[in-house]
Amino acid sequence: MAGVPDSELVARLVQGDEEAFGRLVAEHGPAARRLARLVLRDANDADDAVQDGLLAAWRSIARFDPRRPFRPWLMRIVLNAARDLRRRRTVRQTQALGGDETSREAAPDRQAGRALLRARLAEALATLPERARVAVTLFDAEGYSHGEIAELLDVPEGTVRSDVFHARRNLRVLLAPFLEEVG
Amino acid sequence: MKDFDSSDHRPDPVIGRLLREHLVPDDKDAFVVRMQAAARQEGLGRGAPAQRRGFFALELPEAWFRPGIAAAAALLVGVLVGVRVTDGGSGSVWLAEALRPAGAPAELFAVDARPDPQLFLAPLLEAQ
Repeated sequence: MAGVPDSELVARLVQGDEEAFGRLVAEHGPAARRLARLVLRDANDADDAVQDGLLAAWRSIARFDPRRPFRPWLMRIVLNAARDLRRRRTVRQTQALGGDETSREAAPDRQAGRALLRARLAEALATLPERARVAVTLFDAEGYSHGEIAELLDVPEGTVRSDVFHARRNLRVLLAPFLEEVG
Repeated sequence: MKDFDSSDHRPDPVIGRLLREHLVPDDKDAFVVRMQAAARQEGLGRGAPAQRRGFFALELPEAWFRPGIAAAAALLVGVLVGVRVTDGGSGSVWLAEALRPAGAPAELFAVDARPDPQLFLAPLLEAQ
């Protein structure tokens, strides 16, 4: 089912097609999980929120306007689910953002390097307000426009531009050694 | 004062790559399987388990179909008999007809008239 447009997958989802649901999860799940982690800062809570959001999206798929893009609609649901979960739970801080993620196949030194980078990234993101974390990730990692992010977060576009600018500046300073490597 | 530079309208490829690669673990397939299982648990989709699709869809016919039909039939017969019995003389005749052995005189089983002893004894005497 590779290369099937979202509109077709959504139409199948309306009919209860589980395979179409899996394809949509594969396509949009990673972005949804990144977004939820930026809000909850806990990998397990974030995945729970994404699950809540994805199931809620399926339940209400008949109300989705197929003329509009699917991902922003889904992201708004996931964002709301993550915020709901944060309200319901005391966010566990013992597990740092991304701290549970290790590459099982990587060599030990590379694995340690990735773990260190994740830890630094988590620390750097933790210095940012939630809105800035979400804005910079959606803009730089997910390819959203300022306008789309503004609509998603219910803030003016200028606020998003400012958030992205300041978030980038902080990340560049805090992650300078790693950015030189990556770049 | 806004001090945005000219590159602010474009995604930063280095930061973007860093965020993409390090915010989500490499368990995409497992996550898809988890979500599909959760959807099934919630009764979403055509692959949902039978018990989530509704009580009357499969469980009732398999477990209760025959006993249910038998009980319903017995109840119906009981109700009909009860209605006939309580429905005055015509009901009594109907019940007597239903219970009358084959070949026995109908008058013998009529409840709205006292049975005539001769009617009762006549078939026995004739047989001898």
